[in-house]
Amino acid sequence: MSKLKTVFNFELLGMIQKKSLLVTTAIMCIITLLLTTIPTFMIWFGGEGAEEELNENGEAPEEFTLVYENDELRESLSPVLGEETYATEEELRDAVQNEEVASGFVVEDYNRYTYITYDSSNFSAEQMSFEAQLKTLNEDRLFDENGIDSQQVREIMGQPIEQETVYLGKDAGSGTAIAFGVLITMYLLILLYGSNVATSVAREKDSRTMELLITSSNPRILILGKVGAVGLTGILQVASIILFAVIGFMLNKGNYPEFLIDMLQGTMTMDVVLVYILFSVMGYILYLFIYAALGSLVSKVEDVNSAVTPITFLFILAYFAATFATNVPDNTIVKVTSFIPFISLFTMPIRYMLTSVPIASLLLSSAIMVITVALFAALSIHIYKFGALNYGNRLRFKDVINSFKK
Amino acid sequence: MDLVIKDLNKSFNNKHVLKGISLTINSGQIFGYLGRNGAGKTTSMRILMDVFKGDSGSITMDGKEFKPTDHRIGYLPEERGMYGKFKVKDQLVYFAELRGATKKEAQHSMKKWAEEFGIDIYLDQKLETLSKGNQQKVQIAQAFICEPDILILDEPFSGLDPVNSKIFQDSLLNYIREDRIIIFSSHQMGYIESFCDDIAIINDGKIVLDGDLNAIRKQMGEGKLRLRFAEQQNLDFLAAYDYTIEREDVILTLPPTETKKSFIEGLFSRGIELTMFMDYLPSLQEIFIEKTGDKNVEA
Repeated sequence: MSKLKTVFNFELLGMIQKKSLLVTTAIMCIITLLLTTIPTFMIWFGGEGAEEELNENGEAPEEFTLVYENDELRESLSPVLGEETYATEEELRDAVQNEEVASGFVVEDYNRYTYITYDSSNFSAEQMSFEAQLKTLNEDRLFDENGIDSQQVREIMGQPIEQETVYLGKDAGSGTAIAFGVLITMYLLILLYGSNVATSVAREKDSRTMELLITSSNPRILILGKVGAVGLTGILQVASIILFAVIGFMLNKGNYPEFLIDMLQGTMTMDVVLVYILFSVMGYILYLFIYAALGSLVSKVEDVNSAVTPITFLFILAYFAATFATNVPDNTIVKVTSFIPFISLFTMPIRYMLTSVPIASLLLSSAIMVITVALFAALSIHIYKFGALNYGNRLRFKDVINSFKK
Repeated sequence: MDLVIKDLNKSFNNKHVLKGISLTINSGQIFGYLGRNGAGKTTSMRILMDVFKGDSGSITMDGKEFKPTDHRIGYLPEERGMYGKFKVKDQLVYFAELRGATKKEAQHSMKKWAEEFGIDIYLDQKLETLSKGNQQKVQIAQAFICEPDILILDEPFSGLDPVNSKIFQDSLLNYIREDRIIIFSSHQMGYIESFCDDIAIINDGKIVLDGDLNAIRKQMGEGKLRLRFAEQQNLDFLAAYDYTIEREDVILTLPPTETKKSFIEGLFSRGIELTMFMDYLPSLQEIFIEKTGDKNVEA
C-alpha cells in the first residue's frame, strides 16, 4: 500500500510539474469565467445601443424607402408607412443601382408591392416588417369597408391561450445543452488523458526506465499508481474548470435570462449529478486502464498512436452513439448502449437526465460498469506486465493472447 | 551470507531459457557472472528480483527460502535509463522508496551517494539537462542508494568514460562487506579478472563453469607451459608437441608421458636456451571463448 502511495505521489508530481498542463488549465478556467459572464457583457455593451433605437411603443422605428404608384395609396398609407422617398420606380431602381439606398418598396396596391433590392442577401427583417404592416393596413381597410370594427376584431384575434405543461417524467428539452456540454468534456478528457497515460508508459519503456521500475516494484502497483495519478489530474483539471464555471454563474446569475437559469437548475438535480459522476469516473478509469495497457505494448513513444488506435476508434463510436442519445434519449439503441460499459458512461447519464430510467436498470448498468472496470483493470495489469518485459518489435494481439495461456 | 540457486528452470513460449542452473554466491566479494548475449543472465537476475518466478528449482539465502522482499536489492541494468523530465533528487528518492526505504532514509542516502559520485550540484536539475557522463553517474548512484544488501550490476562499465569508470571502481571496491552480495555481469573480461574472486559462466541456459577464478585458471592451464626462448634457437623439436604461439611466447601442452622436469632436461640436452619457463594460466577471455564458443552451443 505504501509503495502504491509512492508511485501515485511520484506520478502526480510528474503531472503537476508539467507547465503546459498548468497553463492550459489556467487559460481554460479564464475562458470559462469569461463565457459565464457573457450575459453580463451583453447587458453592458448591447443594452444602451438597443435602448436608443426603441420608440415609445418599444419598437424600433423603421424608415422604408417608398414609391407610391398613385395618390390614393400615398394619401392613405403614408401616415403609417412613411413619406414617399422617390417619385417613380425608375428613380428608386437607379438609387438602388447606385447604392444610394440598399433597397426600396414600390407600393402598387393595398395588397401588392414590388421589393427592389440589389443583392438577394439583402432580404431581411425589413421586408417582413413592411409586409406585415401593409397587411394590417389592408385588413383594417377591408374591415372598415364591410362595417366591422377592426379594433374589436384585433382584440378577439389577439386572445392568448394560457397553457402549462406538466412533466411527469423529465423534460428532455432543457437538459440537452448540459448533456452535450458534459459529453464534450468527457470526450476531450478521455482522449487527452488516455493518450497521456499511454505515452507515459511507452516513454518508460523507450527510456528503459521500465527496467528499474519493474525490478523494484510490482507491475500492478505501477499501473494502478499511474492510472490513479493521471486520472486524478484529469479530474482535478475538469473540477477546476467547473469551479470557475460555477463561480462565473453565481457572480452573474442576476443577468442570466430566466429560461437559462431554469434550464441549468431544473435538470441538474443531485441524483443526476451523482449518476453523472459515477458513470463518468468509472468510464474514464476503464479507458485509462486500456490506454495504459496498450501503451505498454510498444517500445517507442512514436508507436503509441498506432497502438491506441483500436480503443480510440471504439471510443469515438461511443461518442457518436452518445451524440445520437442526446437527440433521441428514448431510442432503443440508446437504451441498449446504456448497458454497454464502453458507451454507457455517456448514454446512461444522458438517459437518466432526459428520460425516466427505472432504478433497477440504473443499478444493473452500474453493476456491469463496476465489474467491467475491475475486469479490465486486471486484464490491463496482465498486459502491462507482459508488455513491460518485452522490448523490440511491437507486440501483436496474438502475443498477448499467448501470454494468457501460461 | 550465501545465496544458493539450485536447479533453476524457466521457459518462455516453449523456449527453455534456463536449464537447471545451480550457483552459490558468497557475500564479502564480487561475484562475476558471465555469458554471451541471450545466454540467460538477465532472466536469472530477474527471477532473483522477483520480476517473475522460475518454473522449478529453489533459491535460498543462508539455508532459508530467499524472499526478495526481505532484502534491499540495488540494480543497475545493462540497458538503463531514468526519467528525463524529473529532477535528479526526486527520482533518486523515488527509486529508493520503491526498494522499501522510508522517505527520510531515501533522502539521506540520496545526498550521501550524490556526493560520492560528484552529482550533488545537479540534484535540483532535470536529468535530461545533464551531460551523458553525469546521467550515467546518476544511474550508478541509483543502484547504491539505501545501501542494498544485494547489488546486481549488469554491464556497469558500458559507456563510462575512464574517469567515471575509476570513480565507480573505487566505490565498488569500498562497497564490499561480509553482509553484502555483489553480482557483477560484464563482457569486459579485464574488469572481471581484476574484481572478482568467484565466477560463473552461463551458456545457452546452463552453467558451464563456476568456482574460484584462480583455481579455474590453474585447473584449465594444467599440463600447459608458457615458454620464451632466447633468440636464434633451433625450435624444430616443437613439431613433436601440441603448441600455440602467443606473441613471443609458446604455449605448449605436455604429453602425459612427460613431466616438467623431463621436458626441461630434454631442452637443456638439446642446448636450447630459455628466457622464461612457467606454468600457463589461461586468461578469462580464453576460458570464456573455450566454454561459450559456437562449438559449445547446442544446435
